[in-house]
Amino acid sequence: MAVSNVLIPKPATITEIVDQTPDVKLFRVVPDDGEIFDYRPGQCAMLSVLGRGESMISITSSPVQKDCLEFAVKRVGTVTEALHDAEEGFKIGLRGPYGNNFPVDFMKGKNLVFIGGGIGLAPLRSLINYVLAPANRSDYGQVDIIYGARSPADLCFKDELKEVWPKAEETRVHVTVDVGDDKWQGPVGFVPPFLEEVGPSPDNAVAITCGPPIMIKFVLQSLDKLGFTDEQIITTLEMKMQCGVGKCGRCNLGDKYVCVDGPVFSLAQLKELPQEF
Amino acid sequence: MIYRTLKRESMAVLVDRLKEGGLVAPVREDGVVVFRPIQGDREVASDYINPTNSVKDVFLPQTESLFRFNTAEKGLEIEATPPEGPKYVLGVRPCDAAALELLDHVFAEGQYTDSYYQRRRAEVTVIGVACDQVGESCFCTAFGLSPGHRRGADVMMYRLDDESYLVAFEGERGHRLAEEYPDLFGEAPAEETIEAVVTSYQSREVPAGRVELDGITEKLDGMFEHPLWAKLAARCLKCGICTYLCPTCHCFCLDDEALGYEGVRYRCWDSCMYPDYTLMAGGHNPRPEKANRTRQRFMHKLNYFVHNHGEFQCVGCGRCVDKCPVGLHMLAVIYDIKGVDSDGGQ
Repeated sequence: MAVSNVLIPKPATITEIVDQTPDVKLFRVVPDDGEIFDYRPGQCAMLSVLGRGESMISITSSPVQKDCLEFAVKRVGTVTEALHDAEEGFKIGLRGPYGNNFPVDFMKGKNLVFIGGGIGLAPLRSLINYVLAPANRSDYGQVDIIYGARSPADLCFKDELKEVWPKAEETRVHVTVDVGDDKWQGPVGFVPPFLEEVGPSPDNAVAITCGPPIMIKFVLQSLDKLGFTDEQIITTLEMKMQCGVGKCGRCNLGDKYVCVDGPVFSLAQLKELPQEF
Repeated sequence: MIYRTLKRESMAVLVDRLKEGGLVAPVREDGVVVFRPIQGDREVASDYINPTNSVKDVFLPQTESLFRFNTAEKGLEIEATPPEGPKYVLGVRPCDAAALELLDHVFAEGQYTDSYYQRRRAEVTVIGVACDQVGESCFCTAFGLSPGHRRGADVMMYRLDDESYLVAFEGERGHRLAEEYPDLFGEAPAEETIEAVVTSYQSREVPAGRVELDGITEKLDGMFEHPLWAKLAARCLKCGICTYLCPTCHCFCLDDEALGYEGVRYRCWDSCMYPDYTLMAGGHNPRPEKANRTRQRFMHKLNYFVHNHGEFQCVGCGRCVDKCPVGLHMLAVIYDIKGVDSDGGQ
């Protein structure tokens, strides 16, 4: 008798690997049965390198892209190291999608301010490309993408930052780096003060932010200064996860499990939860 | 619900028959009583308050293979491992049986269910034995249970007299057992006798269970930042025995073991009391201190679980009371929570 379990992944193939930064690669993945699951921007999936383990990774492709799933992975631990060692054609295990998603309906008709730091742009990119897709673009107002990384080499998705998003309708891209190099001619400085300098208006706007915890902490202060309310600020959390389906116990904030009730929360929602992330 | 009787001497016959289908029951091993598979002439223990390990072990094994994989020739084959387990578990105390219904909230209800757990729940008949002795550490009555409770049990046995048991069969699995072995079970006694026996067990005094829990969840709503957690945690040795022996703790981790191209993804118990339980690959740990983890364990059982499932995640089995080497157990913590001002005296 065949047995199944939500914890058992399906075989999938890494069809393409694109270097992003010295420690971030983009993986294009296609399930071997050809069936890409339906998902919404902000959701995640579990990637297995069999023999090494499994990690929860945000889906950086947008649902309008139908040919594959994309994951931007920073090399930080056992599984991500194994993924970075992989070559195109490598077989992985895939299960998902997991978690809630960015509130795309709530955001309709509003201006969107994306604030990302480092690999934190990965989950935002799914929503950015969803919003900028021709079928959805008229549902949303002005788009501002404010992004920073440690150095010019550490900027993820450089092609889209330089060539694609600035050319999109009613879209502005603002990029800063903590420390420049010989070739860098753009702004230099941390994301929070840069955000204040760009100074997006809170009127009819929603801010969506993701990055290192220390960046998020100061971005929230800057958004408050700019006049954004807690309901207008959306973020997505990272937590240690093993099951992804609310059973293994570790990713909770109080009575909420980040893997099923999150990872996307408004600041208003987060303030109602124990501050343990 | 049907009632029958079982002669004490027929118990051995019942054990013999059940072990053909696969039976787990308490045995005496290295000086302690533990649930173990019964094979051969192994003697089932009857003189115990509660086995050291809980019946959770049958439904959520300490370690189990979820699937096997093979990555030969740059391919990937994944083959699910069929869940293994007995058909019967005998000698379960009412607290452990009730704990299964708490685990059901986690593994068998909601958006995602665990098919391995569910299959065992569907296939394993839980045969309880009501408590003749109440342990000093037992506090089941604090959670609305009793030495004669039947929640979560398919069958419950009560001592009728020196010669025989009164046996209550409930639901599909319970009735099936009664029908399968009609030669072993005798006619039900008079209704007044049944009533008297069951009531005597269900109203049995459990001294440590007198602790009053009304309002504790609401009090804990405001105690996340309370200094009590650090004070309690100071003595924790991070051994994790509280979580392993607990019949309701369900946290697990997943890991791989591989040799060459072949390997297995297994699930094994984890503990919220371990420092690396929430440690992320990047180095960040949302619960780096013992105080964070101690708070997590007791808040989960007395507050978060209540918010999510409407009841406490504890059945008062007393294992943590008996086994925690530093007395950081549920009963002590309940009294400590009740004894402090919710604002920490600040």
